[in-house]
Amino acid sequence: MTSPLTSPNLTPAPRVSGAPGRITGAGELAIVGWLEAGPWRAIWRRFQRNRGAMAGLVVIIAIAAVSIAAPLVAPYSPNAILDMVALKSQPPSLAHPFGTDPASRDVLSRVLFGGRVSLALAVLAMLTAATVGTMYGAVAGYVGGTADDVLMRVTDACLSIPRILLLLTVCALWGRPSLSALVLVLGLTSWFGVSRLVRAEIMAMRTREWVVAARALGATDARVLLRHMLPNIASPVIVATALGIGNVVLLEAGLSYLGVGVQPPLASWGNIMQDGADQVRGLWWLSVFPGLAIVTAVIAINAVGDGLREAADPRQ
Amino acid sequence: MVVAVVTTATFILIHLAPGDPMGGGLDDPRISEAVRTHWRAAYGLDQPLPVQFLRYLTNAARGEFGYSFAYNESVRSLLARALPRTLLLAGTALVLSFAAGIAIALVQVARHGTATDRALGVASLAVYSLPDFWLAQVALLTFAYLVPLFPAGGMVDPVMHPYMGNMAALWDRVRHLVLPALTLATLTAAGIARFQRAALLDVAADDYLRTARAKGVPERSVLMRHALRNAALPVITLFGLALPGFLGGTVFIEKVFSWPGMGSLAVDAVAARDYPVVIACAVVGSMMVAGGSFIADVLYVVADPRLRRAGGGGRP
Amino acid sequence: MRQIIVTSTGRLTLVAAALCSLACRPDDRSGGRPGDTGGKTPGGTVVISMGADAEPLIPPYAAQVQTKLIVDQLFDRLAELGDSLNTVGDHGFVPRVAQRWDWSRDSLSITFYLDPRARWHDGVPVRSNDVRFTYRIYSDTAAGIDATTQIAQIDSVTSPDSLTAVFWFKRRYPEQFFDATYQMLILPEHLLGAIKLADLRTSAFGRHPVGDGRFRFSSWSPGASLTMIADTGNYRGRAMLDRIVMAFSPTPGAAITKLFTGDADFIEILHPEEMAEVRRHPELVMLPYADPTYGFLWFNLRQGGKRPHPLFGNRPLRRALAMALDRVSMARNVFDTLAIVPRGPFPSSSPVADTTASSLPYDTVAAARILDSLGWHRGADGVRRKNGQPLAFAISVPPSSKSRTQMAVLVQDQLARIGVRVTIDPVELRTLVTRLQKGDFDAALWAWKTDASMSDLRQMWTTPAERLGTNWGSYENPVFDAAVDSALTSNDPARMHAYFHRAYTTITDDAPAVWLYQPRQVAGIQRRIHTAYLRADSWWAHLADWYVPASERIPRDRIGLVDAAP
Repeated sequence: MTSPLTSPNLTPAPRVSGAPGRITGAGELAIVGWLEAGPWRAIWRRFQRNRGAMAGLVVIIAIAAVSIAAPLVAPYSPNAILDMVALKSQPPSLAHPFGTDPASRDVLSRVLFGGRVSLALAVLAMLTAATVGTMYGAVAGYVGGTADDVLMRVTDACLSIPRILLLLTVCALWGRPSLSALVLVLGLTSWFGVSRLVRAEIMAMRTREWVVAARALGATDARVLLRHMLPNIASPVIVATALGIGNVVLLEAGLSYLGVGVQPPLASWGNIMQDGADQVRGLWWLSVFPGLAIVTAVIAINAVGDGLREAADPRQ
Repeated sequence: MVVAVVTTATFILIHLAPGDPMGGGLDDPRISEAVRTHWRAAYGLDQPLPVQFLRYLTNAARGEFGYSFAYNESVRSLLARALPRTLLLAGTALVLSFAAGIAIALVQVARHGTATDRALGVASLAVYSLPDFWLAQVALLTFAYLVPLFPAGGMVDPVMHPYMGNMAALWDRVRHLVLPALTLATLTAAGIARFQRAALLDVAADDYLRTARAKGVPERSVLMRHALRNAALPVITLFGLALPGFLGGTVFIEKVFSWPGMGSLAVDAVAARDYPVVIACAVVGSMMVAGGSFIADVLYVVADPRLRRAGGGGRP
Repeated sequence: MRQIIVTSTGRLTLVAAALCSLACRPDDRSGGRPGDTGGKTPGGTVVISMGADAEPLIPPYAAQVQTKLIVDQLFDRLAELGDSLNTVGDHGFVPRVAQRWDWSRDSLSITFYLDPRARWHDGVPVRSNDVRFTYRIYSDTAAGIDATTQIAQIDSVTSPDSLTAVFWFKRRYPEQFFDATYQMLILPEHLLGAIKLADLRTSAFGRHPVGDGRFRFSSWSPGASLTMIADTGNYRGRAMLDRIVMAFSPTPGAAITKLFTGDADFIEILHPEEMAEVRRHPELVMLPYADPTYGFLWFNLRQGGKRPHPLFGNRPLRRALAMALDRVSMARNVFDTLAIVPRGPFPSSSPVADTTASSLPYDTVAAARILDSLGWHRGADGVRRKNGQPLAFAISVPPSSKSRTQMAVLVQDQLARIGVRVTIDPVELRTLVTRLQKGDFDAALWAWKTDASMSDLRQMWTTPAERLGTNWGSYENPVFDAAVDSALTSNDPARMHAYFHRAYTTITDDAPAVWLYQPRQVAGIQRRIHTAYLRADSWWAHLADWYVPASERIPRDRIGLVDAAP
């Protein structure tokens, strides 16, 4: 949603009926290339040479570490009201580097703890999406035929609903979601791209000799799919998931901005900004610092994703 | 197909959700049962579900989505008002963003590997990683408040516009359009540039270009004539794929810039639990996307001679 | 009488002001007299910035401020509450559609004599059948109209002739006149009479209302703006302003920005942080006014209106929670110096405010002692427990209210300090109302905008109001009910105040709620606008008398009376 494009290089081109073979976008070429290239070690070597991607990785590890260690690092508890009267809405100072919010809570502590919520939410949502998308795509690709056609048409339809509208609809109908509901909702609206990717891979693999051989040796469909095919598509799914995480971080921020995301007083990067959204001029520190946190994290995640993809496609 | 899936899904969603499918108005417990029955009968909610579903489908096909209690107006007339506004904003931004995005990608590829390429790459990565509403707020703050070059939101001057002459009125519209359209275009252009650069490089690595280069065709000409023409296909693909996210971005831009289009309508409807409007927005949004990908498919066939020969038609 | 108007396109337009206004009778005290504007030239546009669009303009259904503001300009009452806000008898009330009135000897009926010059904006005269019709609409219990319960003491309305309407009451009480006039804006029967009551809320009238007030409806671009223009031939005289434009923004932030950029002239509420910014703008001024709203932490004494609530059914526990809250600091945090802590369920501006009423003290030690004595002892995690049950509850709060959400966060923190675990449950406003009505909540942060009347107390806290009114927390105390009843039917001021004092003491001791704040509002306004008195219950009451001096007018003030092209 929030970025106008959802990981463009990983979303396959629309299928055109009657076309001789499938039209493949750059992303799929990349992934096919990656599969052929094979071992992780080579990818890692190429990845290491990409300075931007390495920097992104370092930043991501740092942000994750700080978020996990938030209870140790943060100067205050994220919801502690320090002094209702004397410390409300204080601009940044030495004692409160990111200032305080209208309820006199320390914004630095909230940003640190908010990172946990925002990142965990994004990671869990994308894990959900990857699981559902892989299973759905694998079944469609493996079974093929009419079933595949129907399954993919449904995915097409889902892909064409603007995600933010879908989320707004769900939130409107069921009221404000709990954190786990939010993970589920975000996850269940993020798997369509993954499923198409997986389907394409599985389809391409179906006629490979080792799959045919496995089947000839009497392996059941489920066994072929689970033991032989799925491990081979792990890497493109991982790249797609990594890039998806960045998007979900932005999505969470956007939903919180519209007041339907993570519910206060629980801090997330999105709703710290929401706390100051009506007074951007007066309480700029409530928008700037969590905003910077989001931008830094998402840039880093996307840089790593780009790096992984390039590393997987040696032609670039 | 897509529309049928979305319409069915929304119908199921409304009836799964807690509360009255009429939404808003009927929640009020002080409203007597007689009035409630009257309204239910007026909108066919007293009929059995399958009958309701058929009615709902036929109505949706005719563009009738029921009645909005929050606006006290038929949803159809609400949409008739909001849709052109969104199309104006989105259309302008779409043209700008494709022009800018492709131009950036061309520059990057022409200077592949240079500092310019890297700088533009980092810049588009950064913009791509920004939360939409955040960039919009910064733009609003900077160009409407700190340096008041443009109005702070809305489509026209709420007081003076009806009393302006033709030219003045047109200028008033343009002035109001500049900031939201530029913000939306910036956000989208970043994604397009990223995609297009990858696609161009993909093509650039192809053998026939190498041949062209070997024959001594100047680099600029290689890029403009051969590479760009082949990279046009991914642009068309992108057009279809970008639309859902693009409409999502429009929601935030409309909200921040007080643009009374579909996005604002959807967000306000969520806040007011105005189900018929929420659903209608989701359906219309999906229809726009479906329409967009249909156009993309047709263009695809037109642009790719291979497909024309194969006699492939566009996907419905 | 002719006026030269320069339109924004620079053309000169001659506009004839209606001559009939010269014939108007000068007996209206608050309205500007026609032909006598105190030497001021009428004209000017006021742009009022609002954070949300208006509801349909059907007066009985108007609930939100922006809608009430508009319908109060377009429609008139029989008589208007005076600036003294007196609601007893008819003292201070100003004639509107009714030119004068008589009380019957037994005070069980009031006869209103209508102003023969009053006309709907479509030219049809306002007649007594309109008054009768209006009562019929407002009193219909099937329509879900808020005012229905408040006019329940009116038995019927008759119209002996076309300019006379008689209100018959079920009994005598001090606020009879108030009930007959304040709650109802007179509606045009010739336009609404044919509409079924069930369809009234959704009728086309709500988009194109025709009223009889000093402003007439001009245009409405939903989600963007709404324009009202002075009714030049109005029986109460032409408004001093030409035009009122309501500019709607989707967010409060966008609404306030319009004031700073000069796109809007008035915003009704400034927050403390915004005031600092207003001070940096020389063209803006701040305008404080009273607001008869009180905010409170509302305990639900009965779950689902039936079983006593496991926690809040216990009076000492409620008192302990009240005593654990540092109400003064909380009000300071949220409203800076712009709020006071109410002493009970009444705003300080109420005619029956009681400055001697005592509220429960802030005393955390005593609060902790009470909780200990009730058997709630602190566990290892700091939360109090009794028989293994933690002392925990949820506070429901509408997330659209920043101040209440922030209050909830403060309450959560303060109660955690004495070992009570509070969760905050943000519930969208309309859903929350439904839940409150069903008694489906633990505690809620709520705000109540009182009307000017004394009977307001009955609406919110007495036993009968559990069913008919808004006593959704199911507070019941016969002593309180009796005291309120005696006060409201007492015609002797001293005895009335004594009864109210007893009522207040009873309810604050029972602590069915903790009264947290009563805000004092500050409006932001462009210096060129000269306002009239901002009445506490509705600051827009005298909007038609606001004024822009000719020398300070800007282009939008000089548009004139022309309607916008559709």
